[in-house]
Amino acid sequence: MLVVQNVNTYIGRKQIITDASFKIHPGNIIGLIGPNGAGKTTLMKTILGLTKFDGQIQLDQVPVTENQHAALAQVGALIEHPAIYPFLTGQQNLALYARDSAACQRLISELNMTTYIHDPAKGYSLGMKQKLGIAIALLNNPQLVILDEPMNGLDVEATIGVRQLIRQYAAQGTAFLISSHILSELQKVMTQVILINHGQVIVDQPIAEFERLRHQAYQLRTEDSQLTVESLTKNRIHYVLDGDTFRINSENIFEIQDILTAQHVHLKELAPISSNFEQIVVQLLNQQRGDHHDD
Amino acid sequence: MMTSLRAELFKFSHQKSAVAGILTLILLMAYSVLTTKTDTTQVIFEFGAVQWIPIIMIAIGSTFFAMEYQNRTILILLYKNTSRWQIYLAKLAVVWLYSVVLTLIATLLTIVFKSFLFRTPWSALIINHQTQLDLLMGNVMGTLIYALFIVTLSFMLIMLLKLNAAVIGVGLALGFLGAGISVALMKSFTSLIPILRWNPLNMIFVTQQLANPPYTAVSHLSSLEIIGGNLIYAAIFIFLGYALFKNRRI
Repeated sequence: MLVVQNVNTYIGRKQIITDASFKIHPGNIIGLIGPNGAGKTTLMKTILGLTKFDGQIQLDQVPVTENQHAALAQVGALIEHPAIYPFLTGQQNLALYARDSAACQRLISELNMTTYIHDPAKGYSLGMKQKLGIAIALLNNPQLVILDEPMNGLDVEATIGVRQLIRQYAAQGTAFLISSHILSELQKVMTQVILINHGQVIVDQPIAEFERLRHQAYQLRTEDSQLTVESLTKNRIHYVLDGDTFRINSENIFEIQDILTAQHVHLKELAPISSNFEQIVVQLLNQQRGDHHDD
Repeated sequence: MMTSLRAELFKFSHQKSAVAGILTLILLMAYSVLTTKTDTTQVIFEFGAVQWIPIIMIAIGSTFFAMEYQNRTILILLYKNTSRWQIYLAKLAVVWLYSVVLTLIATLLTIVFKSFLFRTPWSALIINHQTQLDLLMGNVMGTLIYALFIVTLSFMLIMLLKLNAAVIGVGLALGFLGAGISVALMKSFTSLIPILRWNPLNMIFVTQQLANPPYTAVSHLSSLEIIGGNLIYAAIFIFLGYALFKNRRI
């Protein structure tokens, strides 16, 4: 549905996004993650045709450029802050964009906004404004919804409600591109992860594949650490030694066992190290920073 | 375009500044009635409205565009529309229509005030064999033409300065000092009058000259020239303002 191909975005003369390529299919919920200043918001703005870029962006095979927005008619977005006119009521803000008033009313009740929707938006709390911003993005059954930090200011109940709504829309075929610093929250809904750093996409994987990285490392203890160090070094196998515990990569575990058996070194422990989602992201970012330094 | 116009009209009519502009005009006209003796000049200049409307318009115009950036609604406005021209022109049209509304209100109030305070009939000949009504209509026309100049200028200035207060300051300076500076310039550099008479500050005389042709001696432009000058400046401001809007980072 959405194809982003070799996109480079510039703000002034500065390149913010470098050669970004990925696809989003109907019903996908993409978690767009990365550190501050990585280019997440710029990438979202680029997809919305709001920045100068080269490369190709297509939505249902219709190109999106800075001057061609026809394909974006079926796209909803909440970027940075809710785009709300404070002098209008919540209902009037929605009415500015809504094509189907019955569907609009359904959305209002699904987001529990009925009690204050007729009040002027200037009196809304941060969470109420955020919900209104999300409602604007979800109007008119969009094909693609782009949400930048959607859970900002939402209480627990509202967070659960929005999560359910995202799943419900995705089940009907709406694709989502969501950025959030709250990784645990993203983890609950996303089906695919895009990790971005320094404007480059460094991971674009289905969440199941990404999860495999959780067991990528093993810890090893042997009865002779000194001989183990010598054997691993001799065979050029990467390891990190902490006390008498080695941290090794999962792809080396069989080779290491064979080497140590040949050396008559017995294993005391060989077990997978389970990383959580945040640790994997940090590891990947560190790895990329290392690669950059190597370059 | 109609959808954009409807949306802009909806937003504009729900802003407090739209009502505030009308109330300000009424109060200023009432102040003029209470503090100045009512005579023909007061009537044909709509109790000061001819001067106040451009000042109100520059504030209202820049505020109407600035609020889109302030509320971040410009993001939706831009990505939902392919044509940035459409956004710019729809806003411009709505704000200029507001100046028509202000001018109508000022004219109606003038008729009401005059009927109570000044008994000289509308058909009475005043200056250059023109009736009071002719003079009033000339001023109304001039105000509407100058409003277009002012609205396009306020849009260009808000794109350039990005600060509403600064644009309003420029508007006030233009309203109170513009004509005086222009006249002083032309008096100081008489040999440059053929060029200086086309300066933008001189365009404000359209609000007086259409009703009172002897003002030609002050502006050094014929009525047709000053109308043309205002329209050409409006076109320049539209193109420059749009170029700034198109390239403004969001």
